[in-house]
Amino acid sequence: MTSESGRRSIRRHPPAVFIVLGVLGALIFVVPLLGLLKKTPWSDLPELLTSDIVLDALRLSIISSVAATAIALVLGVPLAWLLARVEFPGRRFVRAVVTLPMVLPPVVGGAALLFALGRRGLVGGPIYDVTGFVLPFSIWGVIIANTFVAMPFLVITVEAAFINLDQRFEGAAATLGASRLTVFRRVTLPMIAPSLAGGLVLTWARALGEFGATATFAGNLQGRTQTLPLAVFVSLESDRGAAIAISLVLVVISLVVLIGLRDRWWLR
Amino acid sequence: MVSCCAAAALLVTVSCGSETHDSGTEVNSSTEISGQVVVFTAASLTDVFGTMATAFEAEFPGAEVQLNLAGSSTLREQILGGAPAGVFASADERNMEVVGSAGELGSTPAIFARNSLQIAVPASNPGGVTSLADLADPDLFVGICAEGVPCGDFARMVLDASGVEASIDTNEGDVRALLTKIEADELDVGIVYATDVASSAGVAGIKIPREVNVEVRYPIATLAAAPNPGVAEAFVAFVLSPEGQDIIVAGGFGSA
Amino acid sequence: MSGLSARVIVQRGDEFSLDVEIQIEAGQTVALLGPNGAGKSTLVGALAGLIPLDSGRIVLNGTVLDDAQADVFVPPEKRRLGIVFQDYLLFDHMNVLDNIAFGPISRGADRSTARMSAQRWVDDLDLAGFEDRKPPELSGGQAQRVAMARALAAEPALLLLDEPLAALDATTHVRLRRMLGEHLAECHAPRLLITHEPTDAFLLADHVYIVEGGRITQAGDPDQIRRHPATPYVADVAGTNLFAGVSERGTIAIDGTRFTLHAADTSVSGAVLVTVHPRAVALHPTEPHGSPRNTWLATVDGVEQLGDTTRVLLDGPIRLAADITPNAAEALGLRPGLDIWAAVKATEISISAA
Repeated sequence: MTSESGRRSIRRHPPAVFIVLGVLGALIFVVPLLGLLKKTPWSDLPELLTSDIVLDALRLSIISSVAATAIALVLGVPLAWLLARVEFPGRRFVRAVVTLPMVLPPVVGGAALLFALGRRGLVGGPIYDVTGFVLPFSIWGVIIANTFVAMPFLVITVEAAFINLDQRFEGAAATLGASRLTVFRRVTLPMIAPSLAGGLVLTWARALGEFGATATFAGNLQGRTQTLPLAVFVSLESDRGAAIAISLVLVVISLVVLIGLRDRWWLR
Repeated sequence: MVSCCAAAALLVTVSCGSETHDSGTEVNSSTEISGQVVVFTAASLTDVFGTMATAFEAEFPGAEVQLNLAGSSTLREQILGGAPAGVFASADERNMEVVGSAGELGSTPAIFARNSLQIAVPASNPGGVTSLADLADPDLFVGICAEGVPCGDFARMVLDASGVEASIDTNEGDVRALLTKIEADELDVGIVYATDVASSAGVAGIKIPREVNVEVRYPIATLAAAPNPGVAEAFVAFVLSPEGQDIIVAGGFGSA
Repeated sequence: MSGLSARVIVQRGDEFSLDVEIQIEAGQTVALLGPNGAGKSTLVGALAGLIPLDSGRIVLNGTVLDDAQADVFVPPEKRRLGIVFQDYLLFDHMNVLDNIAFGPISRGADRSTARMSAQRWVDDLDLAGFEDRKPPELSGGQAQRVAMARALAAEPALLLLDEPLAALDATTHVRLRRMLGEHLAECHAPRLLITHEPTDAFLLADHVYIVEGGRITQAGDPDQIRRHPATPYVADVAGTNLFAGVSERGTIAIDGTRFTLHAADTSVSGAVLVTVHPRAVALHPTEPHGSPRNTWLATVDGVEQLGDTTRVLLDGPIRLAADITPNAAEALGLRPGLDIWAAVKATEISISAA
């Protein structure tokens, strides 16, 4: 069933129009990257990359993007399951709201978070009054902003996987005596694992590059809320070399992770 | 920041709408001035230049003004990158100088507006802020503009001059973003332009002593590559004319 | 109180409803035979607890599993069923051993105990050496045995086999049917075989229900059904004449008789199953000459009218059924006790290894 090694491979040239359009498509992504590399101040790079602003931003970016991905996993998978499997009134509305951050300008999302979770916000207000805890201008604010913007990628990917999963396998597991949680843990999750991995990578990548919502909701302070994209933005105003160096860090991290993970789990 | 700018623009339009300017101007007669001019306008001038454009178009029915609004440094990059700009109205002199030394200017920059900084607090002033010294209070949420952004550089000059070691919680990318957070009561205090305090309903201003304050000067010039130099020159002249200066003053700026 | 007693009524949309009543005693194999779309899978779903009853009642060993009126419903994981599903539904992300151990682990066995019991089934079902394979790396026959082992390892109170042989090629089919028969005998629970293959039903089951369009149209032991089909469908597929015998280069000695049949197919030798479709049996008033290789004198045992077909039951050296047109039946003047010549072409004799 799986052995294809014996099959004769027939070499055929792909259609020319696909090559031309496909190469043009790839250039859209490659050319800006070349532009970035051309402007990179290579000789100053070691010094720029080890500066406090870069190291602080790198640390914050990694912590906040990984934390946002973890939150998206814990909250997003059950949400996706409910959306895929449970008929409830307003399901279409909830589904639309969940994907809203994908179309909303991130700055608007950040403002909405501020009005909801700020210390005078709808939810943040009472929390502040009782505990004195303030989300904005802290790493928690960065994580919340990242989660808000990035989690939809996990939810829609995993929801589609739940919908496409052949439910007879779960039925088979149930008849073998597995409780619903056991079925979910031992059958459902492993079966959607490729989609889940893909969703997590997308979520993480989106969180890593997140700028607008973070700047608006969490503010921008080196060492506390200034992630790599924010550091790029600030440096662009004052020190273009540093801005490019930081962009390069972002590009390298992303490429390493995406190349490493994508081929292994996502596309299989 | 699109949403809050639109709200602020609305406020200013209402406040200026009642004033009429029908004084004659000395600029060229309307028949020769027609066509489009793209004005690269610093974001802090959004409201006044909106009014300015309307008034200019009323004066010269054949002319059409398009505003390209962004931070001054972004505008500078766009101009140096070859954007088809007719006029550059900057919020600081430094960016204008950079454009000038690149040989992109079509006229000598002229100062058309002045501004100064103020301490801005939410209308209720929950932090009980009274002076610049309060910016050093670590218990307050303090925001200023980021370094490299004009309002950020000016704010740092003011803080340096007054010897205050501010306990900053956020460096905002532009003054509108900073203002939004003060209006929303999420920041206790920030340093913004006097004009921003005047145009925002949600914040109260506290004056900064003249001796530590900065005088911000707004230069304007036509650009060498202006596609329609006649209209560009006419627009600059209109801004500097008494009618244009009335609009500047109505927007809370100091006149040239 | 032991065994399964079920009245299953399930409405599926406006078009189709299933309404059947079945009884299976412990240690008994019952087959449910019907064409595709007859409602067989719906019955599996209802018994498994994957489809709730709209009406009726399922009682297994004295425990009510589902009772629409009394609003009793035992969820699938509490029913202790072993099901071999139509396309097996093995878990591709687990190896063979873990698939088989899934039931015991789900029912609370610790991992090592579960694996030990799974290993027993691996050995029993001749799967040794395949423990670490993933299901996609198995042949159809191996996958079927893993499915069987997984169902049996759960120590089911009812064994359900939903078209367990349908996915297999002809050769494997025959081999696995024999193996399945042996393993069914080892399982002491009531066993329900769902199939559209009459041969499978007749060879494996003690009792057969025919289901068509959501209703049971006939029930009885295999021989009864073969000889007295109640509907055209049964006559067509279930009326097939089936014999066991020994073939040598196309000459087949039918077990228990001194009669031989000649088949055109000489490829199979040894123990075989012979099937002859009733339509392939021709009847003649005098001894026919010419092409048929198999002719013999038989006695009419009964004549039944089934729609457009007349079924003639023949006694003689072998007992079999012949389907002829009513006109032909009239012309031959058929009545019980009449002697008549039966003829079957060698090409109409199908044989397969038993």
